[in-house]
Amino acid sequence: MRLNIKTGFCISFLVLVLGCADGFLDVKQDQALRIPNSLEDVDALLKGLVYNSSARELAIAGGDEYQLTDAIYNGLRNVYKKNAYIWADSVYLGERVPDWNLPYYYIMNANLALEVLEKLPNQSEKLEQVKSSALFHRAYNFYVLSQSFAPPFHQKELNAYGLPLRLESDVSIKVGRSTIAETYQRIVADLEEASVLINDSFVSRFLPSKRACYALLARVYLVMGDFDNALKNAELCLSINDCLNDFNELNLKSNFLFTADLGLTNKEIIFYDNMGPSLFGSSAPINKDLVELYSDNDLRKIGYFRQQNSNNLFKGSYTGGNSPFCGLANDEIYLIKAESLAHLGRVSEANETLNVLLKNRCDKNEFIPIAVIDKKDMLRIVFEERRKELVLRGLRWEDLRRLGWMEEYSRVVSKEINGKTHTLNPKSTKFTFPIPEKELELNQMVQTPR
Amino acid sequence: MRRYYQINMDLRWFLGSLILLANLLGNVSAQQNDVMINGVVRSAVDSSIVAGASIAVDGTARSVRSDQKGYFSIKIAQGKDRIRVTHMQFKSVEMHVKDMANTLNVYLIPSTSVIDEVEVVQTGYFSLPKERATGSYSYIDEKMLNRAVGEDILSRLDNLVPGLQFKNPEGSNASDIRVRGLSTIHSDETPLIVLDNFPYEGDLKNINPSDIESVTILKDAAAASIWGARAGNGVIVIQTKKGKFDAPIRLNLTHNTTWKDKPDLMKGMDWIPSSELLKIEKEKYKKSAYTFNNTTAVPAYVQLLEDLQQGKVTQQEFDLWEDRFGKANVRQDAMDYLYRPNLQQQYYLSGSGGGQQYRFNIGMGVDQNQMELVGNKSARYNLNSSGTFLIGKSVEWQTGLRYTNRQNRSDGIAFSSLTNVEGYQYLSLKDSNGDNMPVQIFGLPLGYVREAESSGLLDWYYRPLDERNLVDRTSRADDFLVQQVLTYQLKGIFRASANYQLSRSILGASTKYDKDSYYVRDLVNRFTQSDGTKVIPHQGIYIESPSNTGYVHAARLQLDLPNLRYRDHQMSGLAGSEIRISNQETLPGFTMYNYDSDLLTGTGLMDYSSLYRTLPTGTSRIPLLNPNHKLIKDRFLSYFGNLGYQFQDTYILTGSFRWDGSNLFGVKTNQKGTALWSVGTGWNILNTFSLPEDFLSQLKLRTTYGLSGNVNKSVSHHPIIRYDVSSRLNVPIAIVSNIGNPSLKWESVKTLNLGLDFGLKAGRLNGSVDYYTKNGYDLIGNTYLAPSTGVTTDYMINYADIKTKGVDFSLTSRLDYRGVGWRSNLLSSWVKNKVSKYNTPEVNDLSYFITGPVPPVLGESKDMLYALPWYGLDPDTGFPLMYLDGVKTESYTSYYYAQTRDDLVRAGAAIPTWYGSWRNDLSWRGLTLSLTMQFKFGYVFRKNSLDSGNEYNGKYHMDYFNRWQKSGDEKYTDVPRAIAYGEGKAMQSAAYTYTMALIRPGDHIRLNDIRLDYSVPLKGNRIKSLSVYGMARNLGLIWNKNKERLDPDYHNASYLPNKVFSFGFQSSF
Repeated sequence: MRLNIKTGFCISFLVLVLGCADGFLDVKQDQALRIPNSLEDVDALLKGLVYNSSARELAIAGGDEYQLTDAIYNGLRNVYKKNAYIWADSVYLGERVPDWNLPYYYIMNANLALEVLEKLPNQSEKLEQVKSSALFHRAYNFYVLSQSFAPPFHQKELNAYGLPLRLESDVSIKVGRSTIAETYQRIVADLEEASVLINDSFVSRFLPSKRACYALLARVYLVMGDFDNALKNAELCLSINDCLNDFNELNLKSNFLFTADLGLTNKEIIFYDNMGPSLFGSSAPINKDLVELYSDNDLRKIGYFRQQNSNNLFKGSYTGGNSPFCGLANDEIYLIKAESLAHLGRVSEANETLNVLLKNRCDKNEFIPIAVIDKKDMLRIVFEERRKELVLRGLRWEDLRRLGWMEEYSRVVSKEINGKTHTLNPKSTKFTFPIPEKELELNQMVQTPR
Repeated sequence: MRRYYQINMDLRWFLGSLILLANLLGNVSAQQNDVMINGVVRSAVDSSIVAGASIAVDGTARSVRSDQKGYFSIKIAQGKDRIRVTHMQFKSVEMHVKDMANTLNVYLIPSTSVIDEVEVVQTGYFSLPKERATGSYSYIDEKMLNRAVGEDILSRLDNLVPGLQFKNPEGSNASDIRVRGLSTIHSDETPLIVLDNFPYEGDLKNINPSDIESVTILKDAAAASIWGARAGNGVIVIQTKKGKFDAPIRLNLTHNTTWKDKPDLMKGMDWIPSSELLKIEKEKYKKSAYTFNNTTAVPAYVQLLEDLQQGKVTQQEFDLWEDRFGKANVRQDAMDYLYRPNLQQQYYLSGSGGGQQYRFNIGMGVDQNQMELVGNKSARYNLNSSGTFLIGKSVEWQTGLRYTNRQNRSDGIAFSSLTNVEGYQYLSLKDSNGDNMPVQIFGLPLGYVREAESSGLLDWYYRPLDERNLVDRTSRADDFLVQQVLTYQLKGIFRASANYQLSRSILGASTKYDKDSYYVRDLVNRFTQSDGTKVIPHQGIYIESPSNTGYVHAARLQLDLPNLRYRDHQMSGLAGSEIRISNQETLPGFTMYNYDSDLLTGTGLMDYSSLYRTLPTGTSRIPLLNPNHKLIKDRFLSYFGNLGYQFQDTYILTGSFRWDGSNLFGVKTNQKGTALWSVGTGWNILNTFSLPEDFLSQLKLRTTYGLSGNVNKSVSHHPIIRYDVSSRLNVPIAIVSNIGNPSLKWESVKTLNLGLDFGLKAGRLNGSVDYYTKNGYDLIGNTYLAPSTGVTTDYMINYADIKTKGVDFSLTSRLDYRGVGWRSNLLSSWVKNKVSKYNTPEVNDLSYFITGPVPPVLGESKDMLYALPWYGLDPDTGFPLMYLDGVKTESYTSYYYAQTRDDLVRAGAAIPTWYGSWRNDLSWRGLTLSLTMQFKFGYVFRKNSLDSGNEYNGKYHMDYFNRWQKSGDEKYTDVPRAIAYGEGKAMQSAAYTYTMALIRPGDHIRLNDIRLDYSVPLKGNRIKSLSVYGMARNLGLIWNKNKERLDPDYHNASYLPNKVFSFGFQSSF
């Protein structure tokens, strides 16, 4: 008996000491955690990129779509919103800048995804899909950044002041500024590669697709003034799907024009991206000049706006609520196509394209198709239509930027706040927001002249 | 991979050979002969004979009793010379038989005597008398633990241990205390809690302090190398009561009741009277800063102003309401209707006893707590049992079982929850008829609330006082713990033991909303569609929160060499291995709509995926508790060893090592384990030099040095993603939870401890001084990354080395004069730290330094508080004066941005650098009066004040009344003038808030408690002892360095802790 107890002790001791080492410490601590190393992981990672607080605050604040009352302006908590609205010299005063931080967060994810994919041995169709998705996300965000923080493409000096092009997820690497040319080259290259790799099927408006690649390419080329390519991609995009919402079928008087279903029933949406509702609050009035642009047969006049205490509030967001929609949609592609055609001198085709869109926007009984012959008249109409159609889409700022270099169409923007008038001239350096101070402090680079 | 296995191989080999050695030695020593020794037991007080004392040889089953003349004889073996003498009326004593030939004189100290008991260091792995220890330990016995009253064990340690600091004065969790300053920044800085020899991970509130026999606090490297990687922040070893061998059965009954007045909400500084508030809202209204539409909520008074403007109320009605609002004070109402005095009651009954072959202890406790919030109460039920059995001659079996059940009800409406009501400051909880006042809440426009019922909705008012009876919030926790210890005396000197513990815990909480509760009515209304359909049924709602269940298996095999003696040499040691498996699971909760609390029926069949339009604006899905299933598996494997050597009872050498492995995720395989060690020496100086014993009774020098580490589960080398399910796509998605840092290393902490224990004048004055340095290397902390990296949240690197230096001092004096005894106990600690290296990028932006967390600065304390200089107020404007390079400036932004961190004033440490306590006991016959004072010196704090302009955003401060109002005021006040609405400028608030104007010294002395005890003299009674006591706590400050008399521990609190009064009794039968 005694021997047994003793032996038992020794045996169990040995078992504990020797037996449990193998694999015991390799048990995974948290089942939901993983080191990304498979195609499924990368796929899940990219599907987790949700655009629900888009980085267009500076662009929308700097644009001329809102016309704030002094009370709303003075009540703003964030200094950068106030300063962006009046194009002040220094903007952020040390505040966090979501417009800068958020796109780089998506870019970090895309870079991580691309790095994991690179290590995977087998090429497959699925891998190409996932890779093109990562490339799209990276290009989309570099594009968004470029419209606020890099000077307009049209300016002469293309070899300076581009974005820091971070292409690796390793945070210890310091990346300085690229040139404007390099910035656009990177965006175009990523998108061109993605548009080839990605397959035709459209799975969801929340995921990158061939349509989205073409749509974004069309937009980028338009901003770069490459109208052949802008036209080509707009046409490719519309060749897959050219649906438009017919405003004649919508309930124009409802509280919000579209159903609050994250764009599920909105046929035009290519890629869904919405901004938070909190830029200036839900009762920030829209510029009266803009509202007056709509003709009486234009259904958007009632569909887009709601009167409140003699102010016009925007209710036509594709999100179906107070949050502005900032993604990609077919209406914009029609406008890109029409503009490109006009620039290329194909005015009658431009007329045709624009009329397809407007037929869906105007009262069908009173619709008068546009018929202009002059290229300049056509462009003037397209620019006005862009302004009327793409309200609070984050695109007005981009238009103001590039129109500075088309002198016939450029204009001085002015805003009045607390009895003081602020103006923004075409080609102004104020069209480029400074790099946030936090970035400069930790990643030294040249500040954009302002 | 390879390296890790190699370590294991080595250890396996090592332990394997150790076992072999143990067997060999066991066989050799078995051939030694037993020796019979004789002795006599006497009382230490008057040398009278003590009969019936039990004498047991440690580690064997041998035991005899002293006869009528106090004599005994017992067989002992060489190397097993440790005997234990126990008697119920005396304190038990353990001793070594040094001289086998002569009669042994054993002196016992009566258990009622004031003479100190021999302090024992309990490490959880072994116990040894304090004079053989080299490390820094503090020991607290049951009596001292019971001096404090309170339902948790940790708070009773306050003011008892030098070097132990409460971060949170009211704290009851391990994370609320700090042992010996800072050893890490962002890793786990919680001291390790060890309960009955195993790390305890449960809630400390589940342990009834009455079950505790003793607490030992291990403070230096010796602790860390015994307990491993998690012990770098100190170890608190808790031993529960086990009963005594050879003791008659005894019952103990204790009770105490504690009363605390309701909180004085008027004492807070973060409000202003309603009449002033109305003026502020009126100004804001006049500047048209409020929007009136059916989606925006405005405070009640503002609505009233608008109604007057619109002609919806008459001037008379307006004046009536304005007057009522101006006089209302929600704080007074809250004190009247929401709060009551807090009443806690503790009952504890235990029985213990033992025979020659067994001992047992059974305890039962009931704690009831009627909280200060009306509607909140809690109860705790404990059952604790322990038994030890000696089987045959060499086997000891100890078994323990503990069960705790805790129940909480929290239906109360806290004052803080009223802040959700628009214009809550002038809210009355009851109207003039004494009915519960309806109010609007949570950003709902009053227009909506008023017209709700007429437009087909449910009543949309919120009545805080009604809610208490309509919402039923409960939570419960069950905790089981089973322990088995089997000890086997191997032939010879070795002893092997197997220790196993299983703990199981279940935690759950649920909320039941009545159909008339605001939650249900609000939800029904919000989801009422434009055609009047109600998406949510107007019935009860039952929400079961996610529940947590977990179990921990822990097992340890240990081989002890209790004591090996050869002439002047003495050696003891142990080696063993330990394994712990912990699985903690979170089970998903659920929501039942249409709930009937009588039939217990309800439904989960709702359309959770559709987006509904909600009132007054927006869209939403039907709320559903996000299904969440989580499983955390922790695995630990450790090997340890400990060796002690003693020469002539004078020179001591100790050493210990430990290897800890765990399944930390995201680390490189060869970093899954960490090896720790410590060495120590001790010198009982009195044994070398003979000094006059009436002057010096004890003098001992000890040192330890060792390496320990800290565990940080939140860092990773590799990128880590966390899986989830997308609400938009309904497919699995993954989120980057950590981008990973491939160059990360573990933190290491090297600790040196130099200690001196001394006793003067035959024990009248005892004390110890410990000097220590704690050098943390590669401490992990947040660095600053450029936002373009995509990481704007925390990113951990090995960011600094920090050196901590400190002194712990304790002094106990004892004086007896004509039956009056005076005992005094002074504890004091100094601690300072300094950053000796840092790896974060050089940052100059002031916001890092003034709002924190402060970046490490070479040569500065990690706790340094920085502030902008203060030049006073401008006599003309009432705004802060600002100077740039000696030139006055008016621009807040240029002032702020021109400053660099070198312009900032180093205001002082934010954490006390010198702190301690002083306790005095005065006793006469059965009466003892005891008083504790606590002091904290050498630190500063930043007080809150008026943030001019922010009162329009709902932030108030009583300093509003001290603000500058006219020229000349600047002589008396530093508070700037008020700012008209909309006139605030960027960074204006920083020019006051973050300056030296608001830095105050924290130095203070506090009267912590007073206690009066009376032991009722009992003779020949069935009751063996009875003592009653009364105690008062939180008695306030005696001295305070800051002139405003702000309590530095609570300077920003909404209210001060109230005085607490307790009384109770302890009795035994």
